[in-house]
Amino acid sequence: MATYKEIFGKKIQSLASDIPAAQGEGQIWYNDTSDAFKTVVNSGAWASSANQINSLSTMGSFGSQTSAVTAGGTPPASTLSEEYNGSGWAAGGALNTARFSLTGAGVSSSSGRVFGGASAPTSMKNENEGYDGTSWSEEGNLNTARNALGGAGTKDAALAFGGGTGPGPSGGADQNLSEEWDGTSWSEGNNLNTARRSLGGAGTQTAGLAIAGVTTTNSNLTEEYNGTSWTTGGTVPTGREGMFAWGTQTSAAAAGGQSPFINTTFTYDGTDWSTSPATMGTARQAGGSAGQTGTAGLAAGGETAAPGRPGATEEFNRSTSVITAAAWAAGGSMNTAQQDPGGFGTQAAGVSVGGQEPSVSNKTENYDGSSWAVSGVYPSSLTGIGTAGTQTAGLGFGGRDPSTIATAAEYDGSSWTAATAYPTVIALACGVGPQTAALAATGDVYPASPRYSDLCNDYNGTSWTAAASNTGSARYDAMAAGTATAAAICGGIPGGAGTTEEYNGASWTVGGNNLLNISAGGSSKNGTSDDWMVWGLNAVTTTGYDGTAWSTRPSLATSRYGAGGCGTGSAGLCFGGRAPGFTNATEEFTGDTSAANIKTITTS
Amino acid sequence: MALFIYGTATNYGKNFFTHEDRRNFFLRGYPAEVWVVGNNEKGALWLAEKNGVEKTKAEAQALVTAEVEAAQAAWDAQSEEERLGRDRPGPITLP
Repeated sequence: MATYKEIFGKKIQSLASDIPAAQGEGQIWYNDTSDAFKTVVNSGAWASSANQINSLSTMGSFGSQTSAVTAGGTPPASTLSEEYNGSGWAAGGALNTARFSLTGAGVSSSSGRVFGGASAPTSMKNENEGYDGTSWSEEGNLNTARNALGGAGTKDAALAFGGGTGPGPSGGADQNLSEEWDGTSWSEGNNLNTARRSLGGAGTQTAGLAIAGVTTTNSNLTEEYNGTSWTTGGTVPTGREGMFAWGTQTSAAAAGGQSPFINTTFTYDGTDWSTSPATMGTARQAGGSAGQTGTAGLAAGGETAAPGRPGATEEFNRSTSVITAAAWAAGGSMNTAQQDPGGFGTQAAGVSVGGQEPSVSNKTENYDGSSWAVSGVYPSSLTGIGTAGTQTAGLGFGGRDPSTIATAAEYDGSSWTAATAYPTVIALACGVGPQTAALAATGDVYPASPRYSDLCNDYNGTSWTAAASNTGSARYDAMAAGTATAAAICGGIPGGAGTTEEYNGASWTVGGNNLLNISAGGSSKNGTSDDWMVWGLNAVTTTGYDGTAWSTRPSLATSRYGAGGCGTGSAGLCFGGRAPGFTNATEEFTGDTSAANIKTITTS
Repeated sequence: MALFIYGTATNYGKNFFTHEDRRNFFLRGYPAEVWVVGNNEKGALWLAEKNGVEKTKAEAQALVTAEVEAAQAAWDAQSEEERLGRDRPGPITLP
């Protein structure tokens, strides 16, 4: 038998540790630590991501896995659109014409269009709207109004094909029409060879794919378009209607569909379809899909067999890396349930101080990433204490017993010592930054009226001084993150406004609005101003800020009111609150992770 | 097939539900240790492994409502100052 060296001209390397994915693809090595032959495997996998804001189906969609749009959908017809940034969803502009069973074409959330659809089961639409990342504009209509059609291409070179002109959200009166958009108008192209509706689309106007669909029965046909005519391509192993489809003519994928509902994924190499070992977490059909290559796709929303519209988002990746989706998991329970505890530190070294249980509390607990341990008591029993700093160098200020007070204290990881009092009585204020360079912002100045404040003060480890600027909006019970020179604050009372303000150490400027009007929530306050999250106010919804805009994150398991929080945008900690009784439950957030898909080579 | 399984289980803290659980099935916690779990194999297995007691939706809703009403009564009994500006707990309807 030939040796490896005789075949490949070199020996297998013996290494103490595995080769990173980028260098390891196509390589075989011997790991002399684990005594095993290893290689990097290129495989497909689905990972869940943050749910859509709205639970819809039959939307139009376009874009890539990290920059996508869904629009319209679900009888009754909708004008809603949402934008995906690779982590979560944010509200997009409203369509001018409400409809469902439409389709789309485009490469990103700022460059695409949706066309066709229906506004009612018997009202087919030929409207065509372009999207620039902010708003939709009415442009030239399709020549033939129809729904459940396929779409491919870009915003300025789109392709519409198939569909139905009959009643019902699934179409009927199947069409084989094909139309091309040149940036100005639609023109008739050569027809599909087989009329069908609820078909998937991928590729471009000059290299398009029409995938599966339904006539009187499910179709497993693939047709390829070369800019002039359609020819038959490979056969989809299990053809369905309403499949999620994305990619190019030579690297495409299709997944899900009905009926019956499946969660199977198929990949196409330009000639043949293969069944991927990766299956969707939720079997469904007629949602939004996006992806500019078959190796990186997105499936959002759609209908399940139950029936239901889960609003679920999943990402498909075929690569040498395994991506593990972000999620909240149960952490160790607090020793004492608290509402409105002050929180600071990290997920692995967090602190909870004070709160209501229901009487006001002076208890402090330290979290080590697994469990809470009782630590030194705060100088007085208070709820709504403002906090900043780390587990070994923390700061508390203000609070309520129930009178609003101004006292402050410093924490060293085990005990509190009195510090210079805050310049005014304050409760439910925001604090960010380290103990020796902290920023306190806004707060509740009850019994003064109005209760909400825009005051900001800096703490240098010894004394408080007025910050360079107060916030633009007075509020309390808001959430913040960052440092004294790069902070962001969001939400609060009055109005629970989602307004975000960003601070650079000199002045506050308005940032992106949160998706929710939120107050009394928690935040990963030890994150940076461009990577942090907020949650709470009787909801499981978590939203994250990237320094420009808010988008959804995976949801908490349990909704709360007045939860504590700390950590970062990729390692957050939520604890306590009222749900609606006082709770000691803790949840830990872990962001997306990526690891090399290294496999051990065996003989069996 | 029903979309969810309803049950009660005691949250014992760390790893009661894991990141992997959250990726594998729908999971929501409600008052009275009521958990609503996606009706798939992994969801059902999770509830069983947590020594959960399966309930009908009506039974689970009754448990939740009772706890909400208790929290509302406790809130109602507080003085305005003791409420500290916090809202009265609202009703919760299971999905």
